[in-house]
Amino acid sequence: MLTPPTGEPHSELREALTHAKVLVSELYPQMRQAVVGCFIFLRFFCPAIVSPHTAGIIDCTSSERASELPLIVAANSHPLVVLVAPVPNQAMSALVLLSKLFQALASGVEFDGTKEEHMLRLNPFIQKNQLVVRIYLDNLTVCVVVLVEWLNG
Amino acid sequence: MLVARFVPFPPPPPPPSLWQTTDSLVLEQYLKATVQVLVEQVLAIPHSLEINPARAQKGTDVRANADIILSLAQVFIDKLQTTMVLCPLYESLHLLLLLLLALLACSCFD
Repeated sequence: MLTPPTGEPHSELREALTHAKVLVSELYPQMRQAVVGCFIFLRFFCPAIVSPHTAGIIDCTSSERASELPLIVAANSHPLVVLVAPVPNQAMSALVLLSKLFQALASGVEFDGTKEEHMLRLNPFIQKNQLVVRIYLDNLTVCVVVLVEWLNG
Repeated sequence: MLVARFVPFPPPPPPPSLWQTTDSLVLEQYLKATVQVLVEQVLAIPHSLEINPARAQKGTDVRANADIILSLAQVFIDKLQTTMVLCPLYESLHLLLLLLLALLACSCFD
């Protein structure tokens, strides 16, 4: 019996991404790479990076980190109702920055500096890793695993 | 005799999820395999990041911590590569093996 290796994205995910790529390439051939990148990063990786507690990446009930977490008062709530932010502010800022960087990398568009001049210094990273991400996205839209599963019966 | 009775509305159905049709457990495992290391590393070094709390000058945090941000981003890219690096090889080898077996079977029947 053939089984995919650990950490392999599910074949249904591959099918969905391949389907999206095919449909988009019929109308916008130049966007077929970007649509897969935007789809998987914008809807899958980046939400988990920005909000790791809701994606189950970190355990926010851990008592070890409880003392480090900032207390925030929810808007329009009773003054005594205090929420515990699951991720410290400094870490959250870094996570948001990283997700912006990954989205730019996935869409293959460098920062132009018109809105955020400071992001220009992240462009060399995008240039350096463009090929890696392109290969990854091409791999995601190869449905060979589906064929292997079909042959397995 | 008719008696008016308050019948509560049923709760609205949950919004359809993008990943509803897929095996959520497998997707969750894949998400953890790729993102967890990055998040843990970010959480491990929050105190070294000089984030400007007042946000007086936009981009202060990027200017001060570009190297840290880029090294963290590289962690994720490396992880992304390692989760995929075996797959093309794995797929190609097994597909080749299956094709060879099929050809062998065809030649035997001939």
